[in-house]
Amino acid sequence: MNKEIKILAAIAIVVVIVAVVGASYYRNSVQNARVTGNSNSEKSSINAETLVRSDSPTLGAADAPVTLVEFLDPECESCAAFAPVVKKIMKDYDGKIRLVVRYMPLHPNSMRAATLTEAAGEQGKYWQMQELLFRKQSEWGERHGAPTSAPKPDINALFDKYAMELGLDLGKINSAVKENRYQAKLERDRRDGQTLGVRQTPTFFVNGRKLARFGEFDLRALIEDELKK
Amino acid sequence: MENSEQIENPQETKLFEALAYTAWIIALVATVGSLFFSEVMNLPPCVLCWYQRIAMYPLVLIIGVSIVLRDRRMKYYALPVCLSGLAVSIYHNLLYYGVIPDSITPCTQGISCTSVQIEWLGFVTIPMMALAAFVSIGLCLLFYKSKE
Repeated sequence: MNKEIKILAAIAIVVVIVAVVGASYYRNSVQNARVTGNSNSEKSSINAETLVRSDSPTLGAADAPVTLVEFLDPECESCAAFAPVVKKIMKDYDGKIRLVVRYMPLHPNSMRAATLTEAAGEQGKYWQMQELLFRKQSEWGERHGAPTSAPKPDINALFDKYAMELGLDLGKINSAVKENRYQAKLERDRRDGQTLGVRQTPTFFVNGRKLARFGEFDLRALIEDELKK
Repeated sequence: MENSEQIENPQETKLFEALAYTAWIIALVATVGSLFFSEVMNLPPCVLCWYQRIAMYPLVLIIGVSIVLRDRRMKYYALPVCLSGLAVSIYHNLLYYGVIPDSITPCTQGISCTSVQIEWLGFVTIPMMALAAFVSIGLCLLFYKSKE
């Protein structure tokens, strides 16, 4: 090895170490900053309402010490892939955690699908419909990288089929779709998400602390950290 | 340092070596820094940012390899890469600071090339850092004396 290789390698190692240390420092500082919770010291446009609206779908005990807010999109492939993990976490921390769903509709059929879950919620089947839509996402959702010439699935027929599978009243569902009943709610969620700096789905907040790196391990660590308090 | 056949005195050789190392370090820091912005801070890179990355990332390897090989013709292959990145960077900064109207920006998907994502000390922005990197690498390479 000549001298130059050693010098370059030494500098490169230093720079990479600085970047890795900086990355963990940055993630810690993001996670330690609570976007809401304490009513003092907040950014002007952000308050507890921005994170959890009173009409947001909620699962788990209302007085749970940990509130997990998930910004999701029913048509997002990562959200579907991560859904079993969320379900498992809810089971593992049963009684200690509350899940709040917020929407970040980013795909062509997101609004339509979110409306279907909300309408199913009117009939008490919100979580069943969410799970069904995630599970069948490949049937109805936009696939990344699929050729544009591929035949488009008939979403209306598929969604009717899913509603019937769950034994829902189709008439009620379709009237919610027709009158765009949840448009305002979904748009508001999207705006709240933008205010909170949500750029990708799923994005999680644990008691107002934003999960800096997406993944089960980091999410669990953040929940544990909040439970210790 | 035993380049006895060179007429250049040792101090000059040291200077040119320092220029090469400086250019390489700037390219390396710009590469790692841009990856930090996108991968750690999750700031989406705009289209023009990607074109500048295409020029910046290989500079680390091109300059690095020529340092290792003690190839004094580095300028001939590093400078064209650097200048093409510089051209995109100048265009980006003109857009960003409103010298060219936003309507002709080629960014239609994802993040707009004029959205301000970082403003350190009130004036340090990502496009400005990129421009500073390309300009300083370019200057290092310009003053670097090539030899056959």
